[in-house]
Amino acid sequence: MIEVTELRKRYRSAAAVNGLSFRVADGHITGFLGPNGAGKTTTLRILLGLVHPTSGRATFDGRTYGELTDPIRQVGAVLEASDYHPKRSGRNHLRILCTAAGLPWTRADEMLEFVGIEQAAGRAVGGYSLGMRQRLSVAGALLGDPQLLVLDEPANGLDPEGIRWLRDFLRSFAAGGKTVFISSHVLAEIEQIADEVVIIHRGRLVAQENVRDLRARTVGATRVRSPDAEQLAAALERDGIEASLDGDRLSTSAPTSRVGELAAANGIVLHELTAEAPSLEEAFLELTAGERGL
Amino acid sequence: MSRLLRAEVVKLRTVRSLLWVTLAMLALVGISVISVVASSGTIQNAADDRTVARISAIAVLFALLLGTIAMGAEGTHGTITHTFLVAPVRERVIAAKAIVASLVGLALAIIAEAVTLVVAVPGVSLSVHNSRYVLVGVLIASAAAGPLGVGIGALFHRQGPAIITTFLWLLIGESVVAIGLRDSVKYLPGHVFAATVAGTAGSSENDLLGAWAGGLGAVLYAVGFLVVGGALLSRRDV
Repeated sequence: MIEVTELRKRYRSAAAVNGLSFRVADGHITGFLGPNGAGKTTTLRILLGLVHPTSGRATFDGRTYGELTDPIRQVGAVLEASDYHPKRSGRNHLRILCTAAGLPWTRADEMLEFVGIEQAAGRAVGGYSLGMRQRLSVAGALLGDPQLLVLDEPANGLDPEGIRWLRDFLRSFAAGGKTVFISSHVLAEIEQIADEVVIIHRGRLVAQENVRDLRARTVGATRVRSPDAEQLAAALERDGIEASLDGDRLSTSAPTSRVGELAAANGIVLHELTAEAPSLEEAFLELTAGERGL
Repeated sequence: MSRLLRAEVVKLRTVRSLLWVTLAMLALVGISVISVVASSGTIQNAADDRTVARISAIAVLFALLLGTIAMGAEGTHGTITHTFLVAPVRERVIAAKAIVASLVGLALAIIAEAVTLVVAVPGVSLSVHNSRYVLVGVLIASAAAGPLGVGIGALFHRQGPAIITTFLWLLIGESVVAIGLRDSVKYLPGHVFAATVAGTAGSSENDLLGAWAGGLGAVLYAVGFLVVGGALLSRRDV
């Protein structure tokens, strides 16, 4: 289990992480969300022992990353895709990690094949596309066959095929009872794969919930198309319901049942009445709106 | 620790820095010793023997360069994150780099001395006996220069600034500082390493320590920079 307790990190006058606490349960995919500059990367790097916290703790089963024996066999990390020596081949990069971790070099070739870049294994990483580097990062993270994966914005720069590959891989990884903790600002991606999300903003926890519960808490929108949209908007307004009008289309946060009843009571013809399910993005924007001063 | 040592060797073997540094050193030593042989007859005295043998001290500079690259390149390219993810105890990483840099420095010194002797012994009748302290001094200085470079690389965390600052110090900085130091000039790093490869007892005329004191000083400089650079790197966020 990942446990972050009262974590703080200050860079001179700015607080990147400000008293952050949360837990990530084993055996699930947990999304780590927040706008740019929210403190996601700093938190993950503290978790992985790369950045020193000003105060607080970030642990795996009660131990900091530095306290883990053979950490690469317990935690796999996918970080910046640019952290490679441009003149070194992907295979040699992995072989170095294997050597340092006491793993056989054959493991490097197995993982290169698994992530689908075995044909580029002997080429210098400087010539890799961003997607290939991301796959190399995943290969590196999997070398030690860890039970837990920590990923920082892994979908950045990936093409649609790469994103699909990543999504399928993470699902299959978690299906084996393993844990994934993944940061992203691509909410639609997280929505498709995560069981739970941790949302932070300005270094503080905003929410930690099951994705389904979070969506349920968020008010969805009702979309209406009507030749008498203006009349309907006026009827809604008389009933104290706000609505936005765009030609023959109308959108409101009122439930479809109420909109339908008002339309019927006023003899207004409707061509379309749709209840739009709330998305994670809407939930996210709603939760961080106060923090963003909106 | 042996895993980290082997990993450092693989790192050096899988980029071309080691090859280019070795070839550049070979070229410089070769050209220098051949030009000495071509321009002079035979060696007249022990001082001449030491002067010719000191050509192999070029290895010290290349050992310093390679040690700096071994550490500084990890910061420049960001590979230090991968290194610390596998081996989170940073002091062990620095120790492994220092040991490998020392051994590589030693190997460069052996190659440089071999080239010098192969050309100069038959070419100008270089006496190995007369130059033995120079040859031992080059081995010690090169073995110390590698870890010193690692310490400097850790201090700067980027290979470019580390290399530029080091060579600016050796070419200009130390001479400028020496102006105000008078008797203490022999304790400056460039002078200490020069004393190590001088193969003489040292004198106030050339502002150098004795060879053995120089060797000890070179080792202390390497340890000092490793400790300071290592302490900084251990506290640095990467």
